[in-house]
Amino acid sequence: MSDRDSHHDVESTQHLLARVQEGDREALERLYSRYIPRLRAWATGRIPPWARDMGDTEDIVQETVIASLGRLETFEMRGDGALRGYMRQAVLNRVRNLVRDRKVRPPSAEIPETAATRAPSPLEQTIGRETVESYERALEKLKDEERQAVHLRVELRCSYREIAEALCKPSEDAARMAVSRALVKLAKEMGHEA
Amino acid sequence: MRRDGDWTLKLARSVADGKSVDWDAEETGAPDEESRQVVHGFRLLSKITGFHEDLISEIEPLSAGDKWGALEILEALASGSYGEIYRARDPRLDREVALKLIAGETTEDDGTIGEARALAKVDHPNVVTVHGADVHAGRAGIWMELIRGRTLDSIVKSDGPLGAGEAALTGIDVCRALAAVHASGLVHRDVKARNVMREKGGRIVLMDFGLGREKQAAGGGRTVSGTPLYMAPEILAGEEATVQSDLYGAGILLYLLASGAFPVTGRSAGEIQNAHESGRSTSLRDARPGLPESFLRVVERATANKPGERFATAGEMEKALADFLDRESAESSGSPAIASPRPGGGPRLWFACAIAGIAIAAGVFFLRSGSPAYSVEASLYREGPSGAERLRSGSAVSPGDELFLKIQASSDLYTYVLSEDENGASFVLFPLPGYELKNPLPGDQSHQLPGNRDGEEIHWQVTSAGGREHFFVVACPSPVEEIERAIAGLPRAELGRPVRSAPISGESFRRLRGIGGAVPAFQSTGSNSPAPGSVGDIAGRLELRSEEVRGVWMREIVLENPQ
Repeated sequence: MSDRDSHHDVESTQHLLARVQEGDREALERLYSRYIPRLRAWATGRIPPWARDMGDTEDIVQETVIASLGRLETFEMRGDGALRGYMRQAVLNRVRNLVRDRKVRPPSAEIPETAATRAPSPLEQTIGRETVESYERALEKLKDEERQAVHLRVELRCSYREIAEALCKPSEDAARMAVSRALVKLAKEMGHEA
Repeated sequence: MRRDGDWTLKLARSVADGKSVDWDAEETGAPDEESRQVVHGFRLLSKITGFHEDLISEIEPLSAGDKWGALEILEALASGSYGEIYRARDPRLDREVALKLIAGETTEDDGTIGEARALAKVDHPNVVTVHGADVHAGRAGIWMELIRGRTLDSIVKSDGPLGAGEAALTGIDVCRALAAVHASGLVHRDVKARNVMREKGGRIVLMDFGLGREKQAAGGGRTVSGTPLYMAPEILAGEEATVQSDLYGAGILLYLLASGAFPVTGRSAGEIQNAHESGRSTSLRDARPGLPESFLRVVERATANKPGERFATAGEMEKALADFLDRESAESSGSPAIASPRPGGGPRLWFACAIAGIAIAAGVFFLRSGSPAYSVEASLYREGPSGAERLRSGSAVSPGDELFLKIQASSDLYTYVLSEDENGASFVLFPLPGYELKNPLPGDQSHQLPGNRDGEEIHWQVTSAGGREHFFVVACPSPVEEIERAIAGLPRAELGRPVRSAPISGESFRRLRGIGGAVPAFQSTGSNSPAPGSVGDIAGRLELRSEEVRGVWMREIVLENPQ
């Protein structure tokens, strides 16, 4: 993405956000369309099959994103990447809540545990459940900004320009350095656990 | 072997940017155990990065100006479970289409194209028209007609549930669509409110065949697909989708339209299945008290737990919904409260007051909710050999006269037209099943009611001499529940209802009184506008006025139809 295109995106996103805050439904749908493919793809990797059964992945992502867009009056627009990170975090929280709810729920005779409820997420299938859990634990030990840098670069594959906007960094190089340092801390945590 | 101080930063950049690293060599070359552990940590992170890289690269959306095959992308419209949908232009035919790109890489051999070709065979006005299918750049796409409107899901969420009559009319169109799909040897598998659109103008269109599979191909391994809240119990238990499971979905859709809720809910497909098995479902009678009994019976049969207890075909379910409308009409027209003449025009007075009461109540509601004001212009016309004559209160009509209404509003409005003679015989003149115009009528354009049916312009017809005729035109930005409920029990103007030129007496003919017919439009050679300077024109100009209102708008026009 060129600088020019990126700035164009920021401006139009801000314009759309302003319209959303005025209650413009079409702007909400356009904003939603702009961000949802990447978020949905990301979510397909993180949502276990039993959670997807609650509604399809689209339902979970759509409801969460629309709800988070509805709270935008509390969101300070810093750029396209910032909004992307904001919505991704909302979806991640939703997915984590789903997982947490399932984990803490006491065993129920009415809801037999099935193969489906034990099935791993696609990410767990690919790299192993223990590795995912190690990654999640290591992430929790990072500072908020470090965690967001990892989310944006590793999971959403955002550009460094987007990350710079999201993290209020003065340049792409600064964003690259922030990501690298966060990854070093993450790798050390995960390596020690291994 | 190791290393300068920022080797970890270099590895981190490689991981972050998805660059290839010889991890075995890195681990082997680690100077100590701690360094080896860090390298191992990076190695795990590189797998996580690669996994997400694959996910994201598959769906990187197209942008305006991109091309997919011959189609030019205009804008992203939406994203579904099976890919993205774009507004695109087909330059060969110079028309806009909706392009659905299936998620993930696809080859010609994986069945997607074959499925699209099967869907293209379905030719029905209530089923989205598939224009073509192909694979470009590793992605399968289906392009189809571009529907401009809203999903039923969006309508119910933003406007609330529909009345039973409107829900039944919508359900009839969905059943017709499913009948066409089933006749092509397919099952839809994902009938839900988000997959049904109401186009501007009112056409109901069944969308999203991402899950459609040929019925005869349904013998393979189990793949539970669809949305659990709409899934029939046998699908949740692992059986294959059938016509009956599609009809179950249609029944849940009707339930949702009428109540805004679902009969069975749960946090997972397993919970929903468990609720089915233990009978934990909410009857529509409890979810939305007061719905007509025959409507409830249709929904209950469609959503029966056992497939064999549901409707056998979509056509049978459509007929049950049509029978509901007819039966309610017949029962209501036989009711003394409506049909029996009373001194002083009691029934008419009751009916008029009821509507006026609704208008006031709803008007207050919309004022409170801050609904913007809208303007409405509406005029009633009589068609004749020399053109249309605008009618005003006091105009005389007689059996055989053909009438129509022109209405234009500044925003989309749910519009209801009803007539009543002085004996209390009432008819619903709009909305009517089977007509192209449906609620809500799109704003900023003129509509002629009742509109076209099967491509032919239809007028209302005065079918008997009924004394004084009252026309009520009601409009509102959202469905008026009380009116929807009231009209569900009233007879509708029907094509072919006989014209009686003499006063009718006797209970058996009471239902034929008044303006209860519909006829193909009189083929006039003249203009639809009254002659300038004529009495009709002057009276019409007095009658025709734009009214700035909020909430429910109502107009009553009284015509003389002497016995």
